[in-house]
Amino acid sequence: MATLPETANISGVLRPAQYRRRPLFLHFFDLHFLEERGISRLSQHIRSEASLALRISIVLGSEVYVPAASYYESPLARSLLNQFRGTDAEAAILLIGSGGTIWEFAEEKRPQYAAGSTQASIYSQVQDQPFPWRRRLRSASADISSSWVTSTETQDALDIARIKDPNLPKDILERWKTVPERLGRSAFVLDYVKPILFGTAQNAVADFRTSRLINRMYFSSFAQELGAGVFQDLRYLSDGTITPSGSPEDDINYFSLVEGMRHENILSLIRDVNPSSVRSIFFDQRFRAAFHSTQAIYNVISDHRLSVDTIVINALPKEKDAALAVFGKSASLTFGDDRYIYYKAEFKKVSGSLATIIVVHPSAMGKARAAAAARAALSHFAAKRLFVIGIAGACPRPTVPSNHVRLGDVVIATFVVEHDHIKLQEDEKIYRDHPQRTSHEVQQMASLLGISADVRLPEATQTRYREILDGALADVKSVRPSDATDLLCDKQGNTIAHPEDHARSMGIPRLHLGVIATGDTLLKNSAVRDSIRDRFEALAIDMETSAVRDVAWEMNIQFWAFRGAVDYCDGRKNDFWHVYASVAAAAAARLFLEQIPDSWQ
Amino acid sequence: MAIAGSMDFYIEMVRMRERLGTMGIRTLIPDGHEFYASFDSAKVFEAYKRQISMHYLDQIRHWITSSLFVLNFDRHGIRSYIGPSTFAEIAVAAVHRKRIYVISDYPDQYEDELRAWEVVPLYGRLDQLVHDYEETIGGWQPCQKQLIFPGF
Repeated sequence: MATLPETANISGVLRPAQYRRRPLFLHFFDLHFLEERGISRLSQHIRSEASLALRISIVLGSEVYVPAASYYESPLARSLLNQFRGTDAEAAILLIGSGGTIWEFAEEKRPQYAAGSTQASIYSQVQDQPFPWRRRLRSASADISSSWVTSTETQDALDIARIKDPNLPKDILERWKTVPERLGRSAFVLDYVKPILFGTAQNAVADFRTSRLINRMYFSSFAQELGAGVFQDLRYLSDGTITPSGSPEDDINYFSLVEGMRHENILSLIRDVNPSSVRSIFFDQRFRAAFHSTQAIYNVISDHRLSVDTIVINALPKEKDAALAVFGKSASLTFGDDRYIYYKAEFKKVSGSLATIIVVHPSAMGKARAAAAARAALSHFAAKRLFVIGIAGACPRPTVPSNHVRLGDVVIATFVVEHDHIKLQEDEKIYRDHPQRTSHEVQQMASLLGISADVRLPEATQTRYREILDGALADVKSVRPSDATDLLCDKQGNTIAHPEDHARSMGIPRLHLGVIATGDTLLKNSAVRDSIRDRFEALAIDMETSAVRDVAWEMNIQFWAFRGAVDYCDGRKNDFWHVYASVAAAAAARLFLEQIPDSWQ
Repeated sequence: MAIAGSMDFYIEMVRMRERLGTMGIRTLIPDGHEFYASFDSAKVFEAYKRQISMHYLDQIRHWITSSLFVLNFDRHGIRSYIGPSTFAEIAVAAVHRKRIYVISDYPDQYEDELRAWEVVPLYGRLDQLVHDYEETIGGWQPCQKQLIFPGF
């Protein structure tokens, strides 16, 4: 699966990195970027930093990618790179561009510039191939255009649209959508985008944010194609953003590495040594020590995980689909050799702020796999909350209507217990887990929304819940199964009538607050179900929640669980209610998340 | 007027100095003469950093500096970023009753302090800063070419 452009901006420099050569993309040689960073005013500083970063990349790079246009159009790039022609580093440096060969690339470039221009002259003189060649398969312009169109609802766009400057147009988000079309064949650069977005208004912050966003989209296009690491935290060649990376675990934390090299007394060596000797510094123990010290420093002082509001763990793909129907998928994310796919979704809260959630599902049901997925997700995302959303078996209690969970109902966990964590003795089974509380927020928010065992959902809550639910059901092309299919039977197959329940609204799931019990057993036994229900006062039984609870406990973050009831854990178990209950649980989660105060960090 | 901010925004400081210069506003930016990686010894580098940092704090608090202008653009995903050094510079300016501006908005992290110190958020526009400067300085200029700090 390809990683989408906006996904490539998460640095992996905090991870304990292996000391090995890695593919690296040198984004900073791009001519427009160099001009933006002030090459004409700070030429000496920029040259020094680019030279040092290039030398580090020669030491640590298995392949060092440089856009061919940068090489030919930037005198700085050409002069620094040419030092390595004829050395053993030459084979590691690859020029990249459209066209099967460097000559095809030059042929394509030549007509783009006016006859007599410097660039036209450069491209007409291309004769030899200075470094190995790699053909680009993607188009940066096409990638930026498609990223731009889908970025209208992102925090980046909102941050620009919400600048408190009365002179900026009020309809920036409307103008935003028209930018690619109105640009036509013009380059996607700030100078051309600015008048479309801001008219004649001059605003330094708007300019800054827009140019950074365009840079990020541009470099993302390269990053995702090359799957290479990049330099983070350069000084003069940084624009203040995290550089999009195609392989975050291969990123180089430049400034920390310089500090480490200074500490190891190797800075002057790498800075001044003859180009033909640079690559062999890889084997110098002092450089190796400097490299490792950067990782240690970063682990302590920085968290480069992407901040999100909530991570959602689903057990099944259909639960994931339901969650994305409810929250709206905006991108898929992958990270290096982590084999999970993370789905990003964003939605507006009632406060007007944008909430970001990440959805991931393990390879199969069960506690171990759910815990592994939760831990993997938390290694990439700094989340405020960890949610389990999905389906479960109901624990019916016909004698107590307020605790009688029916198919399609949603149980929101206030307590979670691991029912199969036991000590089995010759003559006794001892339960080793006890119901443990979920987040304090659950009951606070339930109270705010008016969710109670004894009364119907308040009208406003019910209306909003129905809106979310119906919208998502339409999206997955499903409807609520007929109540006639909600059959509760005893062991002999005799139907048990559902009790009268004055607090239940017809046609909409009842939201229950209570205990969810978790075990690795797919339960189809009503006697065992009733024993778990009675021992723990459980309302639902599932196979993952307690595992994710423990991960949240370890990582000290808020934990919630929503389970839609699909069966009664008995021999009549089927998949009939799966889609509806999955959507009902996710819709209930959104109902809560929309209302959570922004100040609850 | 002294300009401050993260060193990631050094070129933005240079450009802002030029832009304000065309409006008749005289400004200072931190010293960036030496390339940081030209220092081979950590001790010497620390001494250099200490020297330029203290020197700039002295310049900020000097009577001839009317105000502090902080370029708090977004950095590494943090909106309206103000780092520890810049916050220290703001604090020094506040203690010495200088007018303080931030180019963007208040960052969440320091909003209370900045409000209390009457730091002015400009939301990307320079009008108020230029207006205040002209009112404060009027026609008086201590030097036609550059500011001179007695004792430095």
